[in-house]
Amino acid sequence: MVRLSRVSVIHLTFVVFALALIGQAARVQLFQGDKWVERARQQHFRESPSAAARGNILDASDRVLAESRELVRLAVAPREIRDRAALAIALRDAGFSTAWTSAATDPRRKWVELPGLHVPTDIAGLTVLPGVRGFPVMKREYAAGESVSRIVGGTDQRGRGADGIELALDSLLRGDSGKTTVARDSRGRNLDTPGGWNAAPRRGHNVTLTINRDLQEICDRALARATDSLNATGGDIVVMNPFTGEVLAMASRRANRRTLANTAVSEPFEPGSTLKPFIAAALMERGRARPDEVVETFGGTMILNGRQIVDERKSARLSLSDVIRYSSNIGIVRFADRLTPREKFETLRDLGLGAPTGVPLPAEADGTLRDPSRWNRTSAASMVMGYELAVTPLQLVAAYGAIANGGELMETHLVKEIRNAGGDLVYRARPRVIRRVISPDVATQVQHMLLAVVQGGTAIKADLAAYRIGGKSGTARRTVEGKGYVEGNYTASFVGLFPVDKPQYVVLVKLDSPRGAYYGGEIAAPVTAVILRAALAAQDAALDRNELAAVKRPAPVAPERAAVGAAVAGGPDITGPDSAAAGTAQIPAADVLAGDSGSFSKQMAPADERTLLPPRTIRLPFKQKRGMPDRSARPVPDVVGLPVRDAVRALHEAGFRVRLVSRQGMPTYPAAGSLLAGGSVVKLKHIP
Amino acid sequence: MIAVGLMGFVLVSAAVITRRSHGFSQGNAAKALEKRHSSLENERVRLAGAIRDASSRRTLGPIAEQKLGMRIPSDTQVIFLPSNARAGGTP
Repeated sequence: MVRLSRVSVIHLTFVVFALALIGQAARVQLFQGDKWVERARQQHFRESPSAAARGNILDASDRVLAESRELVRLAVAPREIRDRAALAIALRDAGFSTAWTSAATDPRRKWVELPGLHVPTDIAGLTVLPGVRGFPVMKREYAAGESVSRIVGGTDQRGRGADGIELALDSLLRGDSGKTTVARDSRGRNLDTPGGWNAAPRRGHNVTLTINRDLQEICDRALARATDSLNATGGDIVVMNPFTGEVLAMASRRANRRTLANTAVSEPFEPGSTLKPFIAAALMERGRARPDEVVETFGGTMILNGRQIVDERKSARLSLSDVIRYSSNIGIVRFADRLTPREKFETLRDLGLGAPTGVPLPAEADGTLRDPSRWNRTSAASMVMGYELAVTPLQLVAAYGAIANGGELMETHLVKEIRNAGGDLVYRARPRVIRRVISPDVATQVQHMLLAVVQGGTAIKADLAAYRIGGKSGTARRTVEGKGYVEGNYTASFVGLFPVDKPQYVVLVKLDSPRGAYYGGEIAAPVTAVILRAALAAQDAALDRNELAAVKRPAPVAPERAAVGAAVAGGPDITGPDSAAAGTAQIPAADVLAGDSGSFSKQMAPADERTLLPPRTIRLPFKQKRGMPDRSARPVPDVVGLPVRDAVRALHEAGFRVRLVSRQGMPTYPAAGSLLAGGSVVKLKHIP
Repeated sequence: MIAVGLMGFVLVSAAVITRRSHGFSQGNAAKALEKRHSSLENERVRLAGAIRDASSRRTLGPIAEQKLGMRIPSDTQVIFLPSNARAGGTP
């Protein structure tokens, strides 16, 4: 037996120990390597979630309506502070109160979260101090404007869509959050090194709306002025392109400022007389009436099923055109008798009333359009006058779009396109016809009726000097909960087609419960004119200026010059029996005047012909009535520097009425050189 | 021989530590630049928003009317010149 010496035993022990070490090292490295590498990675690095920036929301011209920016939330670990005095000064400089400064520098506390979100550059001096931590937070910034926020909506505190487009398209806007790896020191604190992405955050898609920001602001301002000046409880304005179905502007306002809903899609109303053109269209489409066909209107009062129906304009008989022009309730009820209840219902249903338009806005209302089986014996008459049904402003505009574009109900669009963060197109809205509602001929005839409403009917205040507007006013009684229809509580509305020759806008102005004047033609129609004037003067208001130049009315010129112009152009000179006393006006050549002296109606030629023929002067074969004011447009004279008496005389001689005002500003309003209809009031500044 | 080996070990270790320190320092600089970039981008967004709001019709309209006495022209005062192509003119 081999006897080992003591030294050998020690050597052998070392060898065994060394072999054990090598074996263990081999086991750790070769068999458990992955496990230990993972544990080391967990100790040295930390995964940190990283929120993705929400996509931007843009207007149709790519101007930002909503975007995300990174702000910083601050926290302090008081026990890690090295220089408390310096930190206290820095916190005070950053605007924190003394209480928060004391709390943040109190060594008895472990962790203090400071209030508010801060711009990184504003607190750059703070975040470099030991013990101060900054946590990035994505904050949503919105373009200013009450109405924009009603469309775009908002996000909640966790950055998720809470309302409007933000909610409806949240899954597209929010993107995908990522994960980043951050190195840690031996005490577990983050090392300030660039992190490696495990999964990079993917920014949300950018959504481009059909809204035109300039036009939206114009509508906002017009609505604010109208509701304030009329003490209305609210109002809505919607502007749509009738050929594409794109919503160009959608403004809403309520007296209760906490009402943040987009009432243009969520709050149906009884449209009143703005519904009548659809009934006229249905009658003509089915061959049940012609525009010049006449019905008895019984001097403006009629009893139907025990209910009295009254017209504002008292007439014994009215043609269908004049029923629309003067908004005769009796006339439309009598004509509509030629339609069955089912036909009336189907007409309105086919125009999209009673069904949501499908724009991506939460809480869009369906409106109310009852099936004829649920009508009572007065429903048929009520509905053709715009009662017993409710439509949202957007539905009504879309339905008028069908009249404007030649008879096709277009799909309504609020989203123009969606692109991913890389700029690749994900979705683009294309004009889509839902159905043909009326034939092009009938649509043209209804357009002519709407033109007559503005040129000589209930809505002359919507008219512009340079363009022809078509439209229909509406005045409907409003109900109060528990009381039914209440006297003196009205919805005043006007829907206009601009220009009527080839509409680019369908504009709805609706005012709720105005005080004082309440007729749609009196208060809503002028708001439309204000919007259109501002849109014409705007740099970008979604208007095709070439189209407008082609349909612009000729500027008014002096009679002598016009006559010369007609002779040179070779146009006809229709001279009446007493040409010396005949009225002279320049009108588009294809407008044919018919009728006898004193009263005539205008029958218009087809739109294409109207726009192609050059203007010419026609001497009207009737005598100008003595005392009839000349309403033709003329420039306001310059009265700067004149004594008040002379200035008033100059304005009177120019054919204007004068009102002295004591306000600051321009000498006259409108300013000198502005074209104004004869007989209009010019305000003259006079400070006694 | 042992001394040379130890010297080599020290040199290699020093090189590794230096390289690592340099890496951390570069990382810190890169992180600082990243933060500054983010900060400046944030500032750009803020200023762009401020410019947008200040130059909007909503802000400028009342100023132009009240302080400068400007007004929206009537529709007759706005003249659109049709482009040659549409008007049938020659280029």
